[in-house]
Amino acid sequence: MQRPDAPAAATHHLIAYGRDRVREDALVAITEGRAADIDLPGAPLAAVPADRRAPVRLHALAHPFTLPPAATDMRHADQQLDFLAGHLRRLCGSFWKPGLAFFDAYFDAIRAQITRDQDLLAARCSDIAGLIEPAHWAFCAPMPFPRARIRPAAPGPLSADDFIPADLAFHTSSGLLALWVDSGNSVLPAQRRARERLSEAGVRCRGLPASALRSEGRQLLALLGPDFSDFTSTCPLPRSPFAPRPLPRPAAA
Amino acid sequence: MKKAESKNIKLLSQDTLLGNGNVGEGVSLQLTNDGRRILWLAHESAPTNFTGVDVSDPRNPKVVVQTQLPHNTVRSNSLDVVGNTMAVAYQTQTWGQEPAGIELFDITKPEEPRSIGFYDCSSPHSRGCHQVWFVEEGWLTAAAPTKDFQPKESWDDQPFLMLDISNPSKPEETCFWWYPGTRVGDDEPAPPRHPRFSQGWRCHNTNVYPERPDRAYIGYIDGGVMILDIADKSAPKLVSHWNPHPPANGFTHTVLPLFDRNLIVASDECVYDLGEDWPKRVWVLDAQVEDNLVPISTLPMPPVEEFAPRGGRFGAHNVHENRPGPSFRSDQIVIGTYFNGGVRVHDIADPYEPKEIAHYVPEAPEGSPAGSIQFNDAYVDENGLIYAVDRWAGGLYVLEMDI
Repeated sequence: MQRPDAPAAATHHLIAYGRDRVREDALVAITEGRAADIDLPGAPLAAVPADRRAPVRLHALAHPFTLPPAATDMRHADQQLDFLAGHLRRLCGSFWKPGLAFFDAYFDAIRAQITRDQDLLAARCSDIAGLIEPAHWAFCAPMPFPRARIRPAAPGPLSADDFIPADLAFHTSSGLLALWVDSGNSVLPAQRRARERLSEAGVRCRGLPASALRSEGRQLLALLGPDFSDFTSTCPLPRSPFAPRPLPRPAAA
Repeated sequence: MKKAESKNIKLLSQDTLLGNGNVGEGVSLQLTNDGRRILWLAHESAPTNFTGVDVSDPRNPKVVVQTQLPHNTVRSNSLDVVGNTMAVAYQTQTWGQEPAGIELFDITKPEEPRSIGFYDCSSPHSRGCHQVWFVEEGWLTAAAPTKDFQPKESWDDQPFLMLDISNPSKPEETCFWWYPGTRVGDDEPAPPRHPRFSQGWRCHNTNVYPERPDRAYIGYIDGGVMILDIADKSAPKLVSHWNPHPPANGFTHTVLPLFDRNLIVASDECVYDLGEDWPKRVWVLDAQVEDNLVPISTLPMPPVEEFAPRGGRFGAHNVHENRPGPSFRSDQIVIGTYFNGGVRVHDIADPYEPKEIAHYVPEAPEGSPAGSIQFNDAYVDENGLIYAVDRWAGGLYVLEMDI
């Protein structure tokens, strides 16, 4: 049954992530209009409207957690952030050390920035003090999709073969960003052609030197650009991905 | 005659090397001072020692030099190049012969290789050096004994050796290790022999990467995969040992660490014709815990029923080793030689489920007694061109991947 808010391949960028393969059942759900906007819990596959200008932040997804958050003490934002970082690290799989290093560096950088700007951030949410903690601003950072497979919005049938791998994907105010951590691998002709296809579709493609993952946190955010280094200023109010969510709207009968 | 078979690989050129198309396990690329690309090839057996081929135009390779061995009971088999220096391994047919060791050449002028040093490891108990690994100025490692090494079992005669060659005219031993129990005088018992295909507990490849200068990744023939801690050169320590033989049929050849992935790719060499020692596999090992390697998959190969009867050997041998220099590097793509199975390319992005994505099996080279291609070794350059070599007669094949 079609949902009125279902994403479509023609109008949404699709980002499969955290797995070596794109799940066919998720593609069928999208093709049949049964998937909910902006993400598909359990897939994991994010659908981002092609005309979206706002970044997809850490708090924007119903993350398909493999461990139930309820099993952990999650009263404070720091604990929630640790839980989320652990979840994203697990999506790197067992055999991708640079991915694990990225998430360590990325979350270190986020924490360092929140600590540095703590007074300013506390002032910005003073009206609702008690409901949120300054550390909640961390969830405003752009969401890194590890082991991403990107299918830019385009009309036509949906096939797993159309998804182009990237080490990491983001959606920022400037659109889709595909990132490769430089691990000294030679670039294959097919990879070169795939990256060209991404570029032609408007996806920014860039490499990240492995040395950036060894540097102190803030350098990484600065290297990634203003969407990252200024992630709190562009977010009106923080929220947690672990906050209660509205009940899903039932599909039309 | 069976036609060439290919998938996502095409042949750019072939060169039978002035009629000496029997190439061993040494393939290395030199970028010369005058801008040429010279591929150096060690030969499988006498009379040819090594050949230099100008592959600047990969569609039109040209032999620029070919040298001869002093007699027919020595083979060069393995070589490696760094800058304008080349190291060549010499292994004799039987124990006690000469020359047995490693010769160093200045190849600044490729047409005129000039000997600049020799490490002599000949002795009544030595066949010399089977393999050299030379990827940085100043040092090399080898499957070779010292002059005073006496194994308990004659085939255990090529331990792990590291040489300081900063002064090439006077190579110096800096690190030497043998599996405990294999040397006369060891308290430990000699390790058990393989029940069917005993080939010795000794080194084949002895890879040390600049990324991990404190580790040696060793294929130890019937001893399996070994990782040595060589941080202290005077006291190397075995830190990991994984041995599938038996039930596997011996001859661990190459141990390729994929550092960013906590994986190891290890090949076993097929050494018998017509599938007698089948299966010879390429293993993918989970190396998250260095001292507890766990096999998680093997690279798929075509059916033995189809390939073994083609003649010669069929099964795994060398894999491209991600060495520094003008070399292809990948922790997802494994390029290997499989004798009459040709060159095969596997994608191990999902290491639990490797996929073959390309292969090339040429028709049998003219004059080959095997009656089939016998791809022995392959080197892949930084542009993804594969230089594959036949063991008997076909010489050099330059291949281009489209993957």
